[in-house]
Amino acid sequence: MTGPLPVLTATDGPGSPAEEPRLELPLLEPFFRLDRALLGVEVLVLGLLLAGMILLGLSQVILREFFQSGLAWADGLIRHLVLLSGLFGAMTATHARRHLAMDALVRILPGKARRLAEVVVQLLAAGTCFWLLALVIPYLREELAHGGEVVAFGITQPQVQLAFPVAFAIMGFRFALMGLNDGLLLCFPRAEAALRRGSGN
Amino acid sequence: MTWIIGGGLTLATLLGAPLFVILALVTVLGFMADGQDPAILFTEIFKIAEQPMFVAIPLFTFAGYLMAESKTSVRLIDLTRALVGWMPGGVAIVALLSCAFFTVFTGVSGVTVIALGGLLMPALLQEGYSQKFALGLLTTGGSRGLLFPPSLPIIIYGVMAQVDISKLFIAGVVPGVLDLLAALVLCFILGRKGPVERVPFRLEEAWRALKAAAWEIPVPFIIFGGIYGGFLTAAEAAVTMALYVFVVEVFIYRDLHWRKDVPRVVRESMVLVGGILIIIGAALGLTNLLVDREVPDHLFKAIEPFITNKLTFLLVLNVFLLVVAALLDVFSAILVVLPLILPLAANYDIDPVHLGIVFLMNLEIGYSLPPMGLNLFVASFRFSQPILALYKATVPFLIVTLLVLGLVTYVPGISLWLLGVLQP
Repeated sequence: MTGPLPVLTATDGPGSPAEEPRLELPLLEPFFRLDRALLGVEVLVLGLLLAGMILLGLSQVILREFFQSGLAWADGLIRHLVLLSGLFGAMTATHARRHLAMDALVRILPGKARRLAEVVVQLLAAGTCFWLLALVIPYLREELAHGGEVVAFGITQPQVQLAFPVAFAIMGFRFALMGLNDGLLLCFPRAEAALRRGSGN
Repeated sequence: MTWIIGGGLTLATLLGAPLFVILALVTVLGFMADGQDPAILFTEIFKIAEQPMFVAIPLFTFAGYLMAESKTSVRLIDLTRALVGWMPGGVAIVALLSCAFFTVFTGVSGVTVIALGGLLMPALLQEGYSQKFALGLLTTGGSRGLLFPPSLPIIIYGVMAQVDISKLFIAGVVPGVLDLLAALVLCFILGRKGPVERVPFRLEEAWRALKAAAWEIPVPFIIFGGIYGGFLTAAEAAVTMALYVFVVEVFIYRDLHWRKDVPRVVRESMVLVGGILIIIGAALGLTNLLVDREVPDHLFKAIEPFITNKLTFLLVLNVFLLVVAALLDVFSAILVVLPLILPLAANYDIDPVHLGIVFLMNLEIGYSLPPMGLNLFVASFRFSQPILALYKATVPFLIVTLLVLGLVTYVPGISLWLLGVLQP
């Protein structure tokens, strides 16, 4: 095979070839544990969001077709669940390193240059997420002070938007963790070699 | 300073920075440079919760991933093989139809090549097809089917262009069928050339395959019937399909275990949904900035002296989109490029539904177009073949699809005729 291997992105989806196990520095282990614990919560929330969208959507169809009625708040709530699934899905995509990206150039870079490029973009992404976090907090404070429209069950739109800072914080944390881990591994090849031996690669 | 930031962001994009990061940075920096509140970005992202069309994205994706992770592909290939395997070029037709069907439900991505390639490649070689033919068919097959409902790129185009998704679903049918027919003719011709064995038709075999796939066959009809019968909106069709496919794969076929497999499918599908929705949010912010700065107007004024009519615009658009599609994945291409193209196309009086079909067909081809089309790399990886072999193998398939693209681009009636019949 002479062609370069593709950098697998989110578009690869199900049936993708198994990923190479990631090397994690023992120094950062507590942070990786936190990352995995957060992932568990995110998957649970995503499952509940999907179930909520399906059940509410189905109720609306049944109520309309058979009883000529419907729940006034359900459509709005479903739309907000979609937004939340996008934000939680984006957090999960950060863990899986599968955000959509243009990787045409990276694909043709040699090994070390490619890894360096990955570290740089991870740190840039971390910085951006933390900056967005700093921008969204005063915006939300103002929105919460105004109250805003009720979505359902007394929950207002700005309260739903509280997911923004959560998403930016978690994505920023993950990008920073990956950038730090990969950057240190790149700087200390001996530590990397020892980890590879340990993981059987 | 602007040039340094612009250059840095372009480099970061080329180095593989997440597109949502780049779009968000450009939007925030742009609004700040204009002396406006950068928090406009958040109000734009929040618009995802204001449009009912977005509901279709997570639910169709979830349903597609459920099918991709279960044994649907095996049953699908079995069924098409039993039904059309006896024809000249039969197994090739099986491969083509299976790829199209699978692409529709899993979105245009490397998924089809990866999931079906392993099953179809040996089947094609065993039946006597050349490796070159099989490689070309399966590589380009990874994006064929994109024009049929409920393909995710159609939904995303509709959401971004503010075009009714049901209309796009209808408009895609005739061009999609033409595209398939053109490839079928090619399979027929190339299939006849070699010493290809035909599988005889056996009624009991067809009946067995039909029974095995009995629960999955209704899926397209639920969507078509629901939407075109006027019972369901596109979003409600997504709800129905997600629930139906979940029940079928988890409780009837039991291909997926609700505790062991479903959480994985939720995670995998929502990774894609999250990746797409966060870019949509950032792209909405960027669109706001572009409109604010009258960028589409300036762009139109700049190209107007060179591109004087609709036909030239469409030709330039085709070339531009083929290049874009070879560099970006389908979703990113729609989200990044559409905000600029849409107002330009409106200036040339191009119907947004027709534009959508042309747009998506270009992306379908660009996905397998040398030298950088993503399908080529995925197939190179999947089949352990040199990328150059794939360049050669895909040529005949790309030529026929390009011919269909030419027709679809310059004869708007191909896209709009059925729409006129069904929704006069």
